[in-house]
Amino acid sequence: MEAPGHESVIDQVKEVLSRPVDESQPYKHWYDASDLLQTELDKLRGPGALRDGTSDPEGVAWLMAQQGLCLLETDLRHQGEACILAALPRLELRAEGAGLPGFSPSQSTHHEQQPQSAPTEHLEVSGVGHKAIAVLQRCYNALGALWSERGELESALMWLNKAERLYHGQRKRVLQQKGENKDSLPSPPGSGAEGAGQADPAYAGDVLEAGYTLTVFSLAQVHAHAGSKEQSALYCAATLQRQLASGEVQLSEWVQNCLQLSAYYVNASAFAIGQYLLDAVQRIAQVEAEKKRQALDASDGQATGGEAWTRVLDEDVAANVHLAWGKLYLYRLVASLAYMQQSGSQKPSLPYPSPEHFPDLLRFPSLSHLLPSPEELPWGVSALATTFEAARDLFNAAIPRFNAALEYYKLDGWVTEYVTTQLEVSNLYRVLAAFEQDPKRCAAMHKLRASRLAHLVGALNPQHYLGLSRSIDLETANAWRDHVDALTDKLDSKAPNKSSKAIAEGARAATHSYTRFLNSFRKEDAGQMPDRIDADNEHFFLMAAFNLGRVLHRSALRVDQHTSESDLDIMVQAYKHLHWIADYVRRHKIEKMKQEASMAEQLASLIAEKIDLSKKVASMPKK
Amino acid sequence: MSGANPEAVKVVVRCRPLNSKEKADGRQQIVDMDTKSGQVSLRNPAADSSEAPKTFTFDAAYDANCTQEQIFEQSAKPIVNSCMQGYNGTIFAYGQTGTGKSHTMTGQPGEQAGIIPRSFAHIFEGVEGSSDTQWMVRASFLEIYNEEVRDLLSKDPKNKLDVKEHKESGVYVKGLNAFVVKSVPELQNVLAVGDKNRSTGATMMNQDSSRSHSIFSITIEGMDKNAAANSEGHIRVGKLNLVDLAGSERQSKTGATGDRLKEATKINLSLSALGNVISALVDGKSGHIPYRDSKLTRLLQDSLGGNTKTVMVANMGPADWNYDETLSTLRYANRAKNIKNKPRINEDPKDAMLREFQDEIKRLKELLEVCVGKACQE
Repeated sequence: MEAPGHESVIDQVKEVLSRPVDESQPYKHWYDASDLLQTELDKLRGPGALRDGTSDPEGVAWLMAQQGLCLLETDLRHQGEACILAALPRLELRAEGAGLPGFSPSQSTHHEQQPQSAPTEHLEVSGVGHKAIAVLQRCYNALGALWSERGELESALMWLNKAERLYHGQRKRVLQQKGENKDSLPSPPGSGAEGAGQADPAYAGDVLEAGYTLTVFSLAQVHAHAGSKEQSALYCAATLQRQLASGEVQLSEWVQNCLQLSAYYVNASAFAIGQYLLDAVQRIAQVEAEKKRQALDASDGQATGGEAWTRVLDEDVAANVHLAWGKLYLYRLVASLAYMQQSGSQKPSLPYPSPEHFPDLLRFPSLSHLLPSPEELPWGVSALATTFEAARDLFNAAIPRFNAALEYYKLDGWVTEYVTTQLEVSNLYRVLAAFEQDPKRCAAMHKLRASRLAHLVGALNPQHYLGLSRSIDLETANAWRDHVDALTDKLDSKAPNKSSKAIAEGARAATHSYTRFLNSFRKEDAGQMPDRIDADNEHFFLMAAFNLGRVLHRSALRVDQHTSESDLDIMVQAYKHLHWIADYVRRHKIEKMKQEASMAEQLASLIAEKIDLSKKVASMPKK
Repeated sequence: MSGANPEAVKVVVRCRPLNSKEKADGRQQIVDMDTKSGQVSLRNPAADSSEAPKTFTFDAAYDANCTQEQIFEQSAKPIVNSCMQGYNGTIFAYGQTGTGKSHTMTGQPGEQAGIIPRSFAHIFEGVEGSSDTQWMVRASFLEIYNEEVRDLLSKDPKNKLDVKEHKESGVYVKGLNAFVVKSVPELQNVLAVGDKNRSTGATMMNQDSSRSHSIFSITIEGMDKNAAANSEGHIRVGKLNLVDLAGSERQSKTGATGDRLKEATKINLSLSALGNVISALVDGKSGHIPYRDSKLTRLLQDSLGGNTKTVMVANMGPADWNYDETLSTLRYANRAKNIKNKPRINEDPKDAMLREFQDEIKRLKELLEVCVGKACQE
């Protein structure tokens, strides 16, 4: 914050801002700082002097900028903004005069530009001009934040892009100077060579670097606010890079953030980038583990290989690493299925289809010697499984990861994480089963899927976990339904009764779970169903209700003289249920479910025929 | 799967009158409130007359003429009543410094009593007024600072506590003290002790107490006395959470505590908030990695999209120099209305269900043909 020629007032301001904050007057210290700066400004301008009639216009600009930055921390933001805007022209002129290449104060139009890679080597600066640049950078960042908070995101981006250009321009200039006269410049901080040269006491490199990290971080946020997730993700990666290069990271926190970013790319089906980020996490943790091993006596019994990297991370973060890998494989499998199910020209294209599409901002140059080369990553459709064997490989890679995560995320203590992870595992089985050609094995997979969830059915208190309870019931029901469908495909003509029995059992299990799910919408225990289900859940409710209608009558397949009363009851229930759900759709004019409603009524009429036929056959004299 | 009652989270806003300093400085009123429709209009004092005011609509809007009693009766009392009946309820207080949050929540004795003392009084009116019910009222008080949970009623409030989940009882704080209270003064005393520990602890740990959230919880258990005598007692347990959210402007400028109730357009200056930014990119998707920075949301997950009645009371100032902060409050409150649980399901496409229905119909037709044929033969 050093101001040329105004060091004493700056010292006073620093002292004021360092005092403990009075909670009853939280802005007071900022007001006091602003008042000190105002006093100094008044001295420069003199009584009656015009604003421009000062002998130290740069000093005035400097002080106004500082005052503006103070006021932006208070409820007097408009005044703060006005001070900064008044100071900018002079500061920009000073920066231009400092020979800043590529920077022009007149470039105030905002436009999206391709983000440049976020440098990680520290910048060396010195001199008064550079201090003006540092303050200018702070002003641009502050105005960017201000406009973002006003909801004017284009304006916010305009200011932050200016800050970005300012930094890159300054960087280019200093690197050029370094090339001309390398030895005269101080060493970058953290390089270990600080003693090698005479450090400039007015060194501003750290300030500019920190300022640029804030610019990059702010850009990540503003792009997120504007809904530009892809841009936001790039700047988040840039921020992570700069944190890593600064050496000032808390490992677990950094890893967690990298995992979350990986999850973003996995969700976007950018699997190569997702994997790159996970590889980076793994390598960094392994390097840290190795450092610790070397620092300690290796004979202390600590494992030196394998899973040693988990011990340098907080336990939950280590579990999240496993979870992230599991999800990467799972969503590759899910994308593979979607790809397989689309035909010809409708096949979706995946983002980042090749290494050439790997954005610079996403790379970690300081880790390049540790990570696989980009060409080794699964880009585009090469990430997808096209055969059962390839699908199984992904499945086999995912399962141990999910199981490792579940070692930490146990049901007792981590209900939400445990259940959501089990639902992911169920999804894994579901998708693999879709690749399986043999109906018997397919049916077995769906049964295994249901059995993994069995201990959770009815286990959660719906008062606290209504959403999760419903999810468990619906997933279990769907698993049994898929099991029944697979059994139907493999109906053994040589042993029809055995097959029918297995189908009926599966159908009953599906019916039980669908009914639990639908009953969870009743107003109170065993009370009335509401006339209309809430919008959040209605789609799931209807899907479940139609599925129930489809499987319910399967619980009773026998249409002969052995049809029991209970089988007839089941068929009657199915008939009534199908009409009920068709009526619900019609009553509420739910257009998107009209076809399903019509089919439900067709099925109902067939079931009615089945009931009549059963009664006729039952009434026939037995041979 | 959402378990949410879409009406569960209500948001009400309250605007205080211009204070004497604002009047002396000639500040303009830039907030207009329509208390009948709940609409709030905010005029930008720096804009020209062609810029339309920004409008927001809430469940209720209280202007300077509204009384403490009105706010309690309309917005808070229904929540307290439902807790007496065995349900959960949460009242959030949100507001930047100087906007009247303390007045709304605490107020002054007598007519100016705020939501908290009125809630206390109402609970014990219910307790003392029902002779057929056996009651037990317990209170606990915790704070969340920098994603660390502390018990403000503990002998050693510096100890960090873990947030856990139990499949039956839901989210809980392991080791949190809860004291039985038998009267309004006892309840007030618990609150006072916790407040004092909060300030003392903040000083000792050199932390900024305005950056912490606090949750004062009152658990109300009621059992029918006659049923108890017959050993058929049905116990109903309700829990009222009174949540004081950290002052937003201080939070954003000095570093987030990482809760999920993020404001729409705030810029966080602390890199510790990077996780929030990244997490928000995958918000709503099923593929996210479990959050680490969600203590407040986890503790109140029943209130946010669950089966708990929730009201957020957002306070703001009327003067032109508060424009940015007032706008921020309104956006935040507006966003709070849209908090809901997103469904989590491995869903098959609807088209697949249609195909399966067609197959089912075809299968049943074929079966019936076979059965009719057999029946005819017989």
